[in-house]
Amino acid sequence: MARKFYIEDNVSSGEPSIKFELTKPSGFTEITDADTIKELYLIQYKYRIKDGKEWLLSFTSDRYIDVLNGVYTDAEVFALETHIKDLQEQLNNGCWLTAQNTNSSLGVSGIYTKSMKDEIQATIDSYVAENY
Amino acid sequence: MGKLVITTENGSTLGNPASGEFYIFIDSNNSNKYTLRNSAGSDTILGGAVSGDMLASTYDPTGVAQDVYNYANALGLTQIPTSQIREYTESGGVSVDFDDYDPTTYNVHFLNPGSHDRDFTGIVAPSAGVNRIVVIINSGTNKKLKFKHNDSGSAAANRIMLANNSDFDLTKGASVQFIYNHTEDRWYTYTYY
Repeated sequence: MARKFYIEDNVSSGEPSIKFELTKPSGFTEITDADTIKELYLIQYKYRIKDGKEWLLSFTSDRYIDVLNGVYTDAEVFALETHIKDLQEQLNNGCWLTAQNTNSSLGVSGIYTKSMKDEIQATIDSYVAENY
Repeated sequence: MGKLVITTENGSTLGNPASGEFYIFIDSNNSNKYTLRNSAGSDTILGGAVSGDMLASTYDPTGVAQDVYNYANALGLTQIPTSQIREYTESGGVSVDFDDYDPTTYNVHFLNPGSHDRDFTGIVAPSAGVNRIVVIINSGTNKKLKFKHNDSGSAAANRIMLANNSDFDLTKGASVQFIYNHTEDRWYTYTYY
């Protein structure tokens, strides 16, 4: 969980490629310029925000369908939204690492059961492993 | 839109129209002149012989008049021949990406990523001096074509440059056009819907 940016060596023509990887790919050199790194992280956070919003939309849609199908009641889902408010906000802002800690330390309550908590945790853990 | 067809007739044998009607014809009995004849049989010469400036090959040698009645042509729209459209479904496993995608002679590509999201890292570059625009449409159901900015998954000259150096996802039904830049040796986004 400490990816770095690497720039392609000896590209035959045009702009070199940049990779965000855990280890240095063959034919690439680590980028050390602070301004470039900041610029590249800004792009990464845009991806993280987009992915967080998509996950949240999917999660919210699933709960709404659960209500329609009689799996949960309106009141249970409203209570869930209140309980995981911080988690939702963090994912909506692309802060997956923060959300990882938030979900991990959040107690079970109502329909936020251990099963649901573990499922969310697995999704976040996987995302963090692949993108941080 | 209907057509008015004027044919060649022999004015000496054509006869006369009914009362209140007129014939317009090319009179082979009078040097192929455009002729108006009334029901009394009186002729009025409307124009020169058919070999003159009324001949389509003379007044409209490139068929522009016909284009006026063709909606697409009149608007200057390109009509894409079927031979330029390709439909392709990728059926490979999750790790199969679109690297160095070869558009061959097709300009419009309906690409179905199949059952997995697919990274798309590049398109085979056109030969030097050949300008190309390639259209890609995600014709799949619910999987994405994930376009990767300047990604080394494709050969340098085949890579795609995306706005703000950012990757983007092409979802179901969305389309993007790329144009090749021979100075930068890269494809650039032309339009994105």
